[in-house]
Amino acid sequence: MGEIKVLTSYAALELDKIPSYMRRAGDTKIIYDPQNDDEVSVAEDQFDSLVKKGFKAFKVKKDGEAGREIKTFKPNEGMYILVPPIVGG
Amino acid sequence: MVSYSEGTSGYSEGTSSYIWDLWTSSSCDATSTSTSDYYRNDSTIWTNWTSDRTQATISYSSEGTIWSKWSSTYKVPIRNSIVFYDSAEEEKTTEQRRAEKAQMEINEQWSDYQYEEMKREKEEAEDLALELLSDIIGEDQMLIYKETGRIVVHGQKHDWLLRKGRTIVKLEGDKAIGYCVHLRDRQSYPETDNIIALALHLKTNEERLEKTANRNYPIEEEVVEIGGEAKVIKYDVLKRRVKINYVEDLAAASF
Repeated sequence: MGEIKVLTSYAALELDKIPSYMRRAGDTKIIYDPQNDDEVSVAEDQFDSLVKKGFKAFKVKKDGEAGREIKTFKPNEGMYILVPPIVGG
Repeated sequence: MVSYSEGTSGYSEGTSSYIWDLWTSSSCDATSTSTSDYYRNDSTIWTNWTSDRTQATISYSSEGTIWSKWSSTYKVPIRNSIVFYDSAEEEKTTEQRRAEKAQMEINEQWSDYQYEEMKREKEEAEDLALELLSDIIGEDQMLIYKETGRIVVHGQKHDWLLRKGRTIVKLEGDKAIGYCVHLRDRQSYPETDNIIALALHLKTNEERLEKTANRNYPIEEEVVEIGGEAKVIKYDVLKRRVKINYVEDLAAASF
């Protein structure tokens, strides 16, 4: 299964396209079957939509190994983490 | 119940006074003619107020209330002190008061419930964030993070100390420099989400994070609460180590 984890604010306002049952503060999981075209299409739409809003997508290896930033959605990559924009304080 | 109060001490018949002005002004729903009429035809009100009742005090709840009451039944006994209650309140039955009290208690309980729910949701969100961070950094580093709220991240060029709820620290040459950078709308996210986001940025694009961040000031040490105790973290950058009370070595648990 493919999975996109989105760091989600309490308000989750950014995720209005994601069904409410999948939405909660902390992280929102978008799970899809890479073999199912419909599910992949929905996941890709959500991925693109969030990236357009300034989210950064990361592919992370376990236990601290260097990950990489992802620009394009690839359904067979396993888990992505989508992170909201950061700002200087 | 009472909005205004004014004494009539020293007022005399025919002399303009504060209360008299109020009574005869349009805002009090009385006219000088009607007032004069009352004075001429039945001087009870004014006479009592200005002669032997020199220390009288009148309190009234709203404009017009007194005049309405006095002009309809102006033979009401005049006392040295007369208090008019708000008519709406006066009309409340015991049951209404009880219902109001019950409603207030319900509102209070609802408010407490909402607060507890919000608190619970925040805790759950923080738990999820901790779970995700653990997946990223591994259990060993996670233990340190849970205890100190800090993790050391090896960026592409420098080592960084990420501190929960605080600025992050870059180990730069022989200095530890504070940098202020965080998730936009940070307060809407669990604190640990902020750490996750910064750690991922540092591991993949340190330069961009540094450009986004605001560089602050060098830091030599800080006090941290660990296990309910205040401890001092020393930034021993020459040895590229961050020590807690010179014993625990955070740098040993970095990723």
